[in-house]
Amino acid sequence: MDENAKQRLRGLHRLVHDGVHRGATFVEKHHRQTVARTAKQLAQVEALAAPVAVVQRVVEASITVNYESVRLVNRAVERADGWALERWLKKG
Amino acid sequence: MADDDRLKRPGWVDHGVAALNAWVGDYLAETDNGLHQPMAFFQDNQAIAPEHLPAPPTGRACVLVHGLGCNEALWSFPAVHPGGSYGDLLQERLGYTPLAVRYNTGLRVSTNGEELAALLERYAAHHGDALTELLLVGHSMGGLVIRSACHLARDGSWTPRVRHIFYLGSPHLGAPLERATNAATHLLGRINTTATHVIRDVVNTRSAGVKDLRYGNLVDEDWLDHDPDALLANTRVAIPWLATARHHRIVGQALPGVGPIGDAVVTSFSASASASGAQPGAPGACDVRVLPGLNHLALARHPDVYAQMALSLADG
Repeated sequence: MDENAKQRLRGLHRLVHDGVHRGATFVEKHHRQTVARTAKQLAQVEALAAPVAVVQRVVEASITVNYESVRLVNRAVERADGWALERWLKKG
Repeated sequence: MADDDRLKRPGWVDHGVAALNAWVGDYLAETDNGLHQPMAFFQDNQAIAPEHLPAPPTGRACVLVHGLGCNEALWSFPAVHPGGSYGDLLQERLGYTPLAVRYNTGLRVSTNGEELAALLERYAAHHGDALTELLLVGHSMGGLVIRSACHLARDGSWTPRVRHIFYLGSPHLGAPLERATNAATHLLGRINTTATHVIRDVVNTRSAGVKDLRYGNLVDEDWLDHDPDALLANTRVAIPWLATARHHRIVGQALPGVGPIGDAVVTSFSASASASGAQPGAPGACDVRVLPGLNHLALARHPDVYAQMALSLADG
């Protein structure tokens, strides 16, 4: 395998993990917007405003935890398969 | 086909990389990703430094610059047409040594223009007086990159050696498809649902190079300090055409007799740079040739286009 092909493989590896990271951030942004939009509509009913605010905070916290864990796992996997890729490229 | 021959041509991986560069090439360059395709001369599917290229035996060289999402394989004639490519024919019949450029089409046209200017400067500087004439041929976006390079290197050592430039279906005044995409994303943004906003954001990830095609941006001033996704905002500044060269614009007509749709990707109006009053020194209509029956892609690989190029060169 020539140096150009190796460089492309490394690039592809990085692009896949960048894609997961940016994809998670992108979906998170829209997820938050959807939650905010729904909460805003429900909060127009006076009796629901207080419980909706609480639920919104809980949902937002869970969104943060979920997407942050996707990014954390992605980073860990990137390190692991990056290490494996380098070993394979050195052998090849 | 022998394995050796196959290795000398861009394969599916190279085509995939070219397409990826078109879509997110600016991001790949920004993150120094290994899939970013830096600009270089390519021969037999290998990048070659300008200093390693031999001097053209006749003193004449032609530089071929492909369009969006392509590589130098674009220039190869389909099997039904003999001759190989414009580069092969120009070499065999007129003595021009062909030099094919490959580059990241997702970068700004002005960035690629700067890189092309630097590449040609190195080539011209290395060969000195052994290089007497440079013929430039650009297909689609390649033509814009050439115009940008000529403008940015107007005091360079190679520009006086350029006497003819061929623009094959280049969107000098912009491409309607990119304008339609820009308008569609705005429409989607105005519909307040998650689905439409997701689609808008995904479509807006397209590269800066693609967005430059909206109005045919050529220099940094065209886009600096402007929102790249603003609705149909033409922020292009007028720049002069290279005064020492003849600018031949070859316009395809996908449906013979139906002028306005042009080659089905770029309108005749844009490809011929007609009515480009905003661009000083715009060449006249005498160097515009309309070829009926040719679509956008065919302009890069058709014997009729070569015949027209040969005629124009013979004309001086």
